[in-house]
Amino acid sequence: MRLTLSEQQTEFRKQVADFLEANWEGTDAVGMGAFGDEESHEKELAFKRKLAEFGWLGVALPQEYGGAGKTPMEQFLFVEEVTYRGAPHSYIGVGFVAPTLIRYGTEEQLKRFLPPLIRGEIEFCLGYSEPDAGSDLASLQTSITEDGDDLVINGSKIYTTNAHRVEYCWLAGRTDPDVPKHKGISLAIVPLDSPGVTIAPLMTSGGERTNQVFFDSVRIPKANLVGEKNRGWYYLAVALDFERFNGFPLGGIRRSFDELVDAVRVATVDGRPLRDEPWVQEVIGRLSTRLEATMTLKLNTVAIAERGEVPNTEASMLKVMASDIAQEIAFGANEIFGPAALIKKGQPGAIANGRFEHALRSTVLQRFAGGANEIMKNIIAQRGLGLPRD
Amino acid sequence: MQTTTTQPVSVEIELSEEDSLIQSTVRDVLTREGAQERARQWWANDVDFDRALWSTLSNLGLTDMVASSAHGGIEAGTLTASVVSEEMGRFAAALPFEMHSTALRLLAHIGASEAPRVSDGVLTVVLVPNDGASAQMVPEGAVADLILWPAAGELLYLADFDREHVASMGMNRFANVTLRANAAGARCEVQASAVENARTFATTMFASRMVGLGDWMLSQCAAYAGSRVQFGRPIGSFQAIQHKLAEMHIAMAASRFLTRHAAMALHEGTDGQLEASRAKAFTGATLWRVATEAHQIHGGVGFVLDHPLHLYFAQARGADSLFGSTREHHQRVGQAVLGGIGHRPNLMLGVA
Repeated sequence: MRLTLSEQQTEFRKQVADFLEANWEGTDAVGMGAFGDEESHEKELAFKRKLAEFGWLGVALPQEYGGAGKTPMEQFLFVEEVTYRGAPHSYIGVGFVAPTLIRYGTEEQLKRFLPPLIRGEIEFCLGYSEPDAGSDLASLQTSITEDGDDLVINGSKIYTTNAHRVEYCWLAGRTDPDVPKHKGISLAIVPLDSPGVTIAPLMTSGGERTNQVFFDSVRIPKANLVGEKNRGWYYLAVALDFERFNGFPLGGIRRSFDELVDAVRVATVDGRPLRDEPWVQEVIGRLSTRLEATMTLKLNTVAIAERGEVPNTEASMLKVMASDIAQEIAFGANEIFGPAALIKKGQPGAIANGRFEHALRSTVLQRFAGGANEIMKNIIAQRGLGLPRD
Repeated sequence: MQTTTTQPVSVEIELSEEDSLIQSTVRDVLTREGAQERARQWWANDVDFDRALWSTLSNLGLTDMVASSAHGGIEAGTLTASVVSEEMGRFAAALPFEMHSTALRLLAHIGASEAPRVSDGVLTVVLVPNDGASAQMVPEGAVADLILWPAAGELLYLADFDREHVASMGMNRFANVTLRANAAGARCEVQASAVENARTFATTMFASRMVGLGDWMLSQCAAYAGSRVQFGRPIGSFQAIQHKLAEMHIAMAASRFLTRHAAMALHEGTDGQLEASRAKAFTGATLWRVATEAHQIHGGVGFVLDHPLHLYFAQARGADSLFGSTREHHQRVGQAVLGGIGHRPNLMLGVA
């Protein structure tokens, strides 16, 4: 199969670009919706609502729930354009919760959650990691117990980015402590305004806020359980595939590289153009080559999704390389510009208005978020290459 | 601020039915003929190559596909040639396919239908820097029946020349070639751009061979690591080995996509230089890693000549050495990107 844009897809992409041109100012925001201050958060929410009015927030979700019913290719083009400009979109809700819910949720849940998600009225955060369950996610201990028509949640989730700004937590908890760890997990949707929920901020090296969320006998209706009880690990695996596929757009990374190129183009060293330095050319060429290589892995996942399948090993391959190149570009800027790359935004002499100063701090996240790259490599080796588990 | 253009996204992820058929045909023939086993006898002899195997493929029309009909071909696309080269690499076949195809394609490209036809033989082309009278280390120079030599706006067709074989490890059958004083071979006009295009084609072809070489090494490593037991368990169950293999797998997938993308770009009439440079740079870096790790994973088992790994290592060095190293191509890509030729890196997405 050859991935070539049809006229219709080309036209769609142009519409997205025009829409962004008209409705989103160029920004140096990270574009993940969660990280800005209150003022930029308000701006991002307003933009999401505009996207919703235009019918694009639920870009690839079914039309019967208010989505635009676009193909994975169109979703890819949409997200690339949006993230290239640092604009927000429904990264978690539309990106990974909705497609998982469509596969395993009830019709009632789809009717309850999808239309408001697509209208930009609600959003989700992810309740996966716990203080003692990171890479060994299946060892999670937050409990979900049944009590009449309710489920009762006790425990704590950590790195729940956005929890203080969204309506729901997409939570993995333990429903059966007496079976092997993978077989006693369930997924549930927890309203974050429920009594017993406490959200505590955690500030990160990248300057962004994340959270720890405490659940103290939090009651939710059984109707919020996703799929079958104790099957949560399997649903989670699919949600994680969507995360590694949809959750690693290259738009922001391409933008970062383009800004590095622009900065090199205008710089001089001892009166000579920096762009004429062979070693600078080599660094830029290496980054460009590796970025393009990453794009081929991205397009491979899109091709798989176009066939109606969920990219698995291929999503893990993309995740590793995309997170590596994001960091390599920041480091490349530091190699080329030395200490000037470390000048903060708004200060005289800041390269690309401090973009790389921030990127150097923030991109370390990508290599362990969404599954540490070492876990990705286990998946690739075992599922992709058929090597034995230990 | 960048604006969006409407260039198409165009990247080959899976092959067309025709190319898949050619791929499986070549693979079947090379399997049936025991190409990998046969390649071992040429390990220590790069004065010649497996002419019997070449004839078998030639009789099936598989060696001359990129040629014009005047030279027995069907003007097959660059991607088709790339796929055949991948298969040659997979078997480490001791065959001069890449330079032969480069020469035939150059003739087809410039419409030199009057050039001599060498049935069942081998062509090469002098693309190394030279003074017009002698050229050092011409790949396939030791075995070519006809050498194409671009010099001063002309392309000489030389069947009669002096050559001195250069023993080397890469199985590229190098020779130092010297024009004879009275060599009045036929010739035609050739534009510098056509020669440059041939160089780009050759770059893509050697990247393609590396993709095949690397694919085989990766699958061989996975199979070996899954069956070799140490400390009471398969070594492939250790993360130290799994992570090496996962990294090789990622890099090989991207190498294949970039190389096919480069082949397609050239086929579609662009100059394809940027794509070829990216493919060669990335694939070259990948093959150094894959070939050295393949040796590391196999240990002594892969170091003895009973195992075919040495063929793959040597051919990877040969292919990587020709038409520009990773660093050289990275610099070219950097010049193009910084100079505004490949204005934005994401040509594949068509953002200008």
